[in-house]
Amino acid sequence: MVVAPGNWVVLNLGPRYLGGGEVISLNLGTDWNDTPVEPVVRGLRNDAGLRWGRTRATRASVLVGWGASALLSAQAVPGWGSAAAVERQASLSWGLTPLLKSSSTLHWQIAAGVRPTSMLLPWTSLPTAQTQIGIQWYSSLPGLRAASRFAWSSGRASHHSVGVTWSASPDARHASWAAPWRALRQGRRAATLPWGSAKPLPWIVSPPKPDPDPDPEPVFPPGNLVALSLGCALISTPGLAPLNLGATACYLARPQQRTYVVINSISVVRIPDRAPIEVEGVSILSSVDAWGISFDLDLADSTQLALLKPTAAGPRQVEVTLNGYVWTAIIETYRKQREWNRVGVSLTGRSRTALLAAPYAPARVKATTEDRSVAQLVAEELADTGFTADYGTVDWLVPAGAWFYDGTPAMDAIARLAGASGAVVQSDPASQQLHVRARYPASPWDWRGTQPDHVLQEDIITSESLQVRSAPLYDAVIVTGELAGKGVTCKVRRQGEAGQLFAPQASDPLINTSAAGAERGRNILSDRGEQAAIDLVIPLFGAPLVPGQIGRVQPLDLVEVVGEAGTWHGLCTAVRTEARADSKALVIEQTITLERHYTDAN
Amino acid sequence: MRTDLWDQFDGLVGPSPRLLATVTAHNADGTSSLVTYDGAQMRAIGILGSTIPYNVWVRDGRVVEAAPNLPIVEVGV
Repeated sequence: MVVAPGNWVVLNLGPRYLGGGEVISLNLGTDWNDTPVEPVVRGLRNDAGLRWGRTRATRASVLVGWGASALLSAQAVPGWGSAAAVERQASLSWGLTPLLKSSSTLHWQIAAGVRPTSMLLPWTSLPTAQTQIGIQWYSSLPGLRAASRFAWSSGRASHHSVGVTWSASPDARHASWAAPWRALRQGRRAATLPWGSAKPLPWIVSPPKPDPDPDPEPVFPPGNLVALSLGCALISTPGLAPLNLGATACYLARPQQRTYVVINSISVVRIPDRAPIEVEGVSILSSVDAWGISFDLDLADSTQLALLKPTAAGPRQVEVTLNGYVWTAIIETYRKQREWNRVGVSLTGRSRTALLAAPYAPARVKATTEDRSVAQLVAEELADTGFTADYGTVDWLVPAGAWFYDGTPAMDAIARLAGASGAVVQSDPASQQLHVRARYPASPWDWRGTQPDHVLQEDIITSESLQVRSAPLYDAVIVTGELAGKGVTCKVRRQGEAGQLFAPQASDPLINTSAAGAERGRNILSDRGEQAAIDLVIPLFGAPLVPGQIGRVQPLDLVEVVGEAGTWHGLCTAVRTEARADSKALVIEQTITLERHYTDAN
Repeated sequence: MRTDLWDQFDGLVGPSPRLLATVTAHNADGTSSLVTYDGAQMRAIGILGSTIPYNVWVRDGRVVEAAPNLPIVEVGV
């Protein structure tokens, strides 16, 4: 049994309750243990009626509550004005929508305010926005302010959290994108640089390069001898005084001309009677490796072959003149070729110095008994031959008995005399003269400071070819005499170098003095390093020459080539002069072979 | 023409230089130990039999003949 608290009294009608407390045991005349017979008593219904009365009392209290609400509605009437009560209820529910809209505008205002401030203080500005929203709600809806305020405050918090992510993410994106774009620009810069350097190239080629040599200092004569040096040929124009001053008027005197005009002429005559010979073509070859000059002629009139056949006086001699330059030769062979109605005759010959060698000259025997210089020995070889010698290299005294030979013609003896000091023998093209000159008149390492024999402008080169010919970079050589008491052993060393890489030894009975040995060693050491044999085809300008033109080039001439890429020097080692006459024109070209030294020169 | 032909042929054959060297020893195998003026050590077939040291001419690996002992001059070019 459960004991109810308060004013409730429990009546125990059986069985007997022994628990005590607030339970009153009430025996109604029956045993405690008997099951009570429940009487049918109608009075209990009255008790039920009392319970219904309580219910009414509860309803009455509810009526009192409604009375209080009427008072509240009376207070609300002045606030909402003249509108109906039902309509206000409906308008209140709808009124939330404009409030939402107004709150949304506030979002924008706050969001706009948060963005600039969030860059500086993003988290401190968030609570301030929430309090402003709460104030707006208090003024618009007093009845629903408590619940709606909490909801909106939480909504604002979510909106603000979104705003913070926006403020953070665009910045992060901008930062992350800026870095790769900078890297790309750097790559473009690296690609732009080679293009920048390649652009000036065509502009370098276009303008004509000025003469690298500085203008010579003007030499002013004394006051009483003032003269006008115009420096170029006078050009007379009607109405203008022939004073060629300035670069424009001196155009023809410039080294680099726009056009080069060469008028070719060819003339072949038989000497000594100067009978004219008609030729179609002439080829003349001279080289430092040979003392003679070889000729090839093609006759235009085959009947003139009779003029050139040998006689009892020996081979015929001819004189070839190309653009004013003279060569002389002896005709040694001819070949006639018949082709249909045309007979072609080609002849070959050599320079007249061939008369000093076999088979024309006799082999002789000689042994000196007195001291002689080399130049004297050369002159002795040419005595009574009609030829003279131009000895143009180192001369020294040959002791008596040191110069001897047997079975040697004059030319071979002269070649031996010249070869002792590293010189070569060259035939004069026109006159009966021999030139004895060093194989390297100037050492390659001195070429840059040597006055060249010819200055060749690159403009007039019509063809160019190159063949590499290199040698070890020797810097010492042993040159020795062969006769006891009449020679020396020279250890020739290139100045300023180690002197450890020796060229092959050279010996000659005529190395009698150190001067001879040094000159022989100089010519040996000159042929070293990186070299090239460059063939240049150039026209043959006739005299008088103006600057920019070049005349006949001969072997051992030092040529300075002025080109776009710079100036370089080369020693002429071979020249082939060719003249071809056909129905159209007469072309004369000379192909010069220049020995260029890259290591010792330029 | 003929001179050119001879020069071209001579260039093909190549030089056969005659070397001046000093004999430093006679070997039992019939060779001579030599030293050249540029300091190179070499050997050549043949013994001339003079008193060591003496100069000889060497061509193509053979001792050809005796050579004079000339004064040595050092020059620069």
